[in-house]
Amino acid sequence: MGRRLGPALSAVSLCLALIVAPPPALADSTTPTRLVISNSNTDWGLAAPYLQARGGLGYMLTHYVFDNLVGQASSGALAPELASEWEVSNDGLSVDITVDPDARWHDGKDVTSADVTFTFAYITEHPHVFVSLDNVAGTEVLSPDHLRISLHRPDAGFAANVLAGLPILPEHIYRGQTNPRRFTEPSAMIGSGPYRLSRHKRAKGLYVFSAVTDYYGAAQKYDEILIVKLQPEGAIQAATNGEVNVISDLPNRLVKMAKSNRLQVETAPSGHPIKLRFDHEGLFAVTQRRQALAHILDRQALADIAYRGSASVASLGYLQDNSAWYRPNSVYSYEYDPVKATELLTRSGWARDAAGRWLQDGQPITLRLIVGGKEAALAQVLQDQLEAFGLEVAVRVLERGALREVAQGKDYDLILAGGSTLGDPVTALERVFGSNWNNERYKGDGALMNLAQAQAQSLDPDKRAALLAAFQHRYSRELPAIHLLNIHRTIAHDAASRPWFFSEGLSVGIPVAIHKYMFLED
Amino acid sequence: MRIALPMSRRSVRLLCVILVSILLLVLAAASDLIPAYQTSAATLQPPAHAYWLGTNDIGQSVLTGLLRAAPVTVGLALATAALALIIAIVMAGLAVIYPNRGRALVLHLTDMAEIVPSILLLLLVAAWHQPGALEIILLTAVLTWHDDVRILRSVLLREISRENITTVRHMGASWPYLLLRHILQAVTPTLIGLYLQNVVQATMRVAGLAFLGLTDADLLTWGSMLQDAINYLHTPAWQWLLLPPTLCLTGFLLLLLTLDQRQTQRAQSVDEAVS
Amino acid sequence: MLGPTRISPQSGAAARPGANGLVLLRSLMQRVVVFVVLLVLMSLLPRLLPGDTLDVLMDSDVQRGLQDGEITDLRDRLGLGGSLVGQVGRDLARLAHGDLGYSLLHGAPVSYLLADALPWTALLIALATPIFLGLGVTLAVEAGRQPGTRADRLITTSMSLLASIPPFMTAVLLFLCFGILWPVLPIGGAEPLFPAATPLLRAQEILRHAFLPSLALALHEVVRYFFVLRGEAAVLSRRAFVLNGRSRGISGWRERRDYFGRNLLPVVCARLGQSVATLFTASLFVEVIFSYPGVGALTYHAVLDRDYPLLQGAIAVLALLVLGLTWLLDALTEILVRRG
Repeated sequence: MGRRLGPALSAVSLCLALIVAPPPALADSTTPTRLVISNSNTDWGLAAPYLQARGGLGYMLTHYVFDNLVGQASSGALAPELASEWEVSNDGLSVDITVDPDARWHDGKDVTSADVTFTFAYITEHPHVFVSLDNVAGTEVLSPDHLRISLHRPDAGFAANVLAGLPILPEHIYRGQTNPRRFTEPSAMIGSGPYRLSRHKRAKGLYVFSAVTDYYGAAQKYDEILIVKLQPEGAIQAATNGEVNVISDLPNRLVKMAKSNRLQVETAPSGHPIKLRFDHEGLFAVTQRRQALAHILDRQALADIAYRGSASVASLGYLQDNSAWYRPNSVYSYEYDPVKATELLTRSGWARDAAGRWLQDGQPITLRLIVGGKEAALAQVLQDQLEAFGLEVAVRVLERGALREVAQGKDYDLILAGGSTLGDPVTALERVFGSNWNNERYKGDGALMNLAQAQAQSLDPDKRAALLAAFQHRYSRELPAIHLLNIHRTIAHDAASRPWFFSEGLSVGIPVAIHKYMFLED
Repeated sequence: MRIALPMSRRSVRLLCVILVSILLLVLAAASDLIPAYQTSAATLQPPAHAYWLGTNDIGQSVLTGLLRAAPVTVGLALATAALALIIAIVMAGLAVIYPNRGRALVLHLTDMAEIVPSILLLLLVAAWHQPGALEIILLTAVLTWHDDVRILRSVLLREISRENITTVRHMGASWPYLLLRHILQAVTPTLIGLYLQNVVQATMRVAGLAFLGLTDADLLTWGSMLQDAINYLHTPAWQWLLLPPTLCLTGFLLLLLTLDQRQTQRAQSVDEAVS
Repeated sequence: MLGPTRISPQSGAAARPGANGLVLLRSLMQRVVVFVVLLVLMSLLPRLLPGDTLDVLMDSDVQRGLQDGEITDLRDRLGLGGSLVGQVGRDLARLAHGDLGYSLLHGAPVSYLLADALPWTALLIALATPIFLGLGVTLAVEAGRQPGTRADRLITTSMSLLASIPPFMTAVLLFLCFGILWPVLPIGGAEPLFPAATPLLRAQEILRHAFLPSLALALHEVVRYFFVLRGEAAVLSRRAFVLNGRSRGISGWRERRDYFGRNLLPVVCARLGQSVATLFTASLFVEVIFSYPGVGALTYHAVLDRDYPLLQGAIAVLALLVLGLTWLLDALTEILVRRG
């Protein structure tokens, strides 16, 4: 046995030794101005408005390559981008825009007002995921650098939503493209932004963005931006080797590990609070019951157990503390108060039996709660709290498609889901009163809706602030939905890079810190 | 139906297994005995006096979880294996009773069922609708019955061609009578062996599905507890989140494998003694 | 002694002597039927689901408020319009032409995604196969050549223990032991972040990344082969020619290779067909656990994301591969058996 086996064994152990020994550390590429960002999932499509993946990250990618008319300063305030000036008329029905004469497409052609008018027309025909052009009556070219946009109604959020949110497309490339989603030529990604996508390896999840020469705006800090796909654990290891600069999706459970590896961690509320929505035509049509529920839930405990420190209690007045319009004093805060809740529920017509269970007309009440996969853990904690109070809860975890199809009042009393409150408050009209699957679908007696409409059309900031304060107050009394928790987004980075979260999100309200303004000098 | 089984040691052991399983299932019915699987503020606590096996990330006790998941995991495996075996018995019986057309049909079906890459089908169905307990039993049984058919058929053929059986058949006995009185006894060891193997396969399959998160979120099994543990491998929590469900699954499977081995050993020695 | 392997004889063609050409043909027809049924099912099921790709695409808080006409228009353009039968028919026609579809969620044709992922899975299987075959045969011969001895009992007990750990758990435990607790091997991806320039170094890095996943794959298969082969080896050990050989003093490596190894090869070949399907199933778990960018991970994430175009294309290709490979292996075994 010995003779043949000996050499075989040594061959095997040599192979094993080679495998286990790490290869010699290679000096990294000599470009000092390279930024490497990691994310666990980098399937964000391509950097063009019709090729981007769904969701905010796809939008952000396009935003690197395509400038909008209006951008943001580091404080989040609107700042000139493709439009060096924009002016809303006194009646709010037209907006005059001056296009920056230095603005250029990546292929060298100038950006003119013809491109802007073309974009408005094109996007009206091929809808954009985040920006609605319903209110735009028409556009008019006044000169190669001036144009006028006409609106149907005054819109206080027009600049923040449309001007800052709509990517401008090059007319000479997109004219005649009848199916923009299949237009995957490299020319589809010719924009006017500071970076262009120079390499994309889909399977590896790698994006390489190169700085555009002669960018008309602020100077770029980095020659190359790399976005790589790494699980956060692996990303932390790579960051300690200096291979990764920013870990853009650090889960809460790894914050300690990141800090112990000498990374800095930024947290910010994501502006996507988790809401408990109601079937407004069922058991919770009665306002008192909704208010009682707000008293039953110990929202701090929900944050502590289900999110272990990476969430904070949300404001019940719709707007959260990241919004400039937030008025905590006008919001009614519902303390954890089982006694008050009992009183409210009894007044609303429910009774309690000897065992403590709640009954309606003698029948025990079972609340039907549906939830998507991400909030399943929170649903469990919620269920325990409600059942401790005597309300049976039947939880159903639905996947996204089924969640979308749930008709009003068919199968549920409560829905637990995240929803955005970012962006201009004009969006409250849609989010609170709309009938889409992720809107709150509230009607009420009309007073709240009147307030929402008034603030959406109010162009005077002071008047608008007062209207919004009244809106928040009324919202917290009527509770179309209970805003439970604000989840924090966390990002880890090394000392050299400086990502930051905008308080109201990027552009239309996307809670990311790796936006293009991070790559540009102030 | 009277079946006179010799109460040998192997049967006693198997009965014990069945009894333990039934006990576990009774525990489920009287689930007040096991404390409720409650969330609490004590999240990710290591094993201590208050929580013997520690808690998971929403404060639920791991021990309670294991106890509550046990009847589900074991019950699903037992039921799936039983259903798969029943389907196989029916198929094999058809192939034997109708030797010409039945055999051809059954063999075709078996071949095709064998060919289907079951994981692809499982993925497809899971994408369509996350299966709950009943659906898992049906789905897995339908995908695995083909394993048993050939053996059952050959064993049945062997038994039927025995002299005493052919004599009784000549005397005009009907099939049900034959099956119950004569054949069942001889076939039982094979059935038990196949059943045990089915249970092993079913346990691994269901645990794998739960581990991937493809089963209904309400279904608490050892596999789904493992899925929760995967996120915490980088923290010390893996010790009490990962190891207990693994040990339970491994222990259960080891028990079944040992029983199966002992049982086949005995069957082989009986065969050798007879031949 | 039988472990988790089935007692059943070999599947399909290899079990039946005589008229084998006909049997192979029949086996081919069966595979075609199964394939078509799978394709139809695959096209049908996602369309019975609530919610469809259009909703997923247009998902946003602020709904666009599309008119009905616009919605049908968009649906048609994305290939989602028409009756159910029409949609299924169009899918099948498309697949028949080799167009595997376009994943809107990834923003890429399905064929590109598969072409990127398949080589990695193939690498894992290629690395795992010699490991499990080698280990399986060696251990089985060691245990089976002298049944009942201490070596036999030791090996068989440890194999039984390995068999009772669910396969995905062996992968997780390997991940834990060699990636986290004693981090000598990388735990994610197929290549490091910045691959080396020289091919040799790059190959070494790829091997380092592929080692643990392929080991996990191999361990899953070793057990299956071990129990069957050990049984065969035990039977062989009682055969006259082996006993004769032993009495003539042949032992050690020569005995294992010539007397046992050669005679076990047909059994191995017969089992290889079954391995194709089980290896793919195992690679699903292994790739997910090790974040390895193979076709198993791609399919799994397609399921989670409900990316139906990708799922359809992937299942079509994988079913074709699995069905085709198993048939080829059966045919190969037939040829070998006939050659004797």
